[in-house]
Amino acid sequence: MFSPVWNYLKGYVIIKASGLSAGKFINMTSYYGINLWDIKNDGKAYYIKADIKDADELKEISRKSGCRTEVIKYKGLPVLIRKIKKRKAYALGAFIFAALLYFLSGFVWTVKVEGNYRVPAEDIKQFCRQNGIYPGALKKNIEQADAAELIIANFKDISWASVSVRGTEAVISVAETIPEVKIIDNSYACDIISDMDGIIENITVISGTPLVRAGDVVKKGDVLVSGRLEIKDGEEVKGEKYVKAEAYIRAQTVHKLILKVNLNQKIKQYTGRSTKKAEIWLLGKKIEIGFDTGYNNYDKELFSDFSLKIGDYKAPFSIKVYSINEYETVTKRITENQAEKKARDYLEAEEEELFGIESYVTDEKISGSVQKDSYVYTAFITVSQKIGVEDRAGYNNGTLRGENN
Amino acid sequence: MVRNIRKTFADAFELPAEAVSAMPVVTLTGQVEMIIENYGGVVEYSSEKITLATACGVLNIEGRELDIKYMNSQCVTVTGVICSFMFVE
Repeated sequence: MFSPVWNYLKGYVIIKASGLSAGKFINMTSYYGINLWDIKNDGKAYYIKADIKDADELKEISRKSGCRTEVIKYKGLPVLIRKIKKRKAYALGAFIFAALLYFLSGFVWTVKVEGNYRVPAEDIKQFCRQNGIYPGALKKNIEQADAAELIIANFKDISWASVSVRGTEAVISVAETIPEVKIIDNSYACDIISDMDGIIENITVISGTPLVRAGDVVKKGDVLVSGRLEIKDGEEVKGEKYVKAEAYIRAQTVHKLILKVNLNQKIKQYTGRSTKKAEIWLLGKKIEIGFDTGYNNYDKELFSDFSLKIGDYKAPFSIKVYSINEYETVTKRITENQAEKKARDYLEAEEEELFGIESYVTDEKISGSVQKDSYVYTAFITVSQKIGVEDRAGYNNGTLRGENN
Repeated sequence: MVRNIRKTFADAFELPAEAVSAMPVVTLTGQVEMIIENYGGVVEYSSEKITLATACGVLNIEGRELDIKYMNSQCVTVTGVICSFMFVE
């Protein structure tokens, strides 16, 4: 009954009562049946809260008790309504805000895809866009059941789909089919041969007869695992069987790399002159604002990007401001150390590309020399890597796992 | 004399004492809130001490950060840290 919310709804007044008869004033108010709350005393005066409807009566009691009272503030919903009534534009603004909120809530502003692993979310979103589900689409135009059926029909990897609209978000939930099993063709026979020179580190054979062991030196083209299996009865060879040789073989290989770094490098030197340029994009058209910089060489860097966005919806209007910095191309001679660092950085960056993903460098011997305007970087790199490729040359094409007695 | 008659009447009919007399009813919640019904008026009010007039004399409430949370003709609610209260006849 006397909760702060209820008091706010009814409206209340804060009164300051001071003077010698302030206590008398408080006692008289309760005697007259006026409800008071949050009575505070700061030593000089009392601060009292009372119902707004009792404000006039409180004035009368104050006069009778001889207490000096002062209305500090009127608060609560009735006061707010009175204020709003006076300020028509404020009320109109609040109404427009509410109407706009209601209007905008009738649209889908974000599209979310969940439950997909193999099918890219972008593909599903793109398909949904073609079928009327996109940021900015009217919610009432979305046929949820039809859209879900279309998704299932269009994507063969999706076995179930559901389209629902939660607030202003369209949620596309999908369940994917069981992934297709990758069929390994074992119908032919082959050997595994080395595709480079090296020293065998380890070998794990799945099928076939291993012809090398750890520590063996192999040359490119050597057979590492044979697809020929001997069928023995004790020591006596009874026959042969041809299979597809499979094995995991790692070897230490040595690679010689020669990198030439030009000591005369062309570098950008900024002149310090810069300017700003704006682009206005309106309905897919670009309007450039600015002036011709007159710079021969310059870098264009995005400085600020203003665009109107609601959720995933982008309004066809944006302003982009670019910073244009002028530079000159100058030729500068770099030191040997800098050239070596460049070469080393390049090697580190390209390591995976050069030696494959399952490889790592175990040792490297480096030498460098200056030849005219170039720095020649020579590296002997020992790499631990996977080797071996299939070779079907020794077998007839189409030979099945057959026995040849 | 009148008080005794009222008390005898209340005892005879097993009525609550506050119903037939103007006895104050004090309800204390921990040490943070005290509700006093049937009080006569506020005699003294500060953040350390509140004195109320009642039918059984004055009620002195002492504590820290004392406030009158709510007040009407029937009851008064005191909040804060109540350390002691005492009736003085």
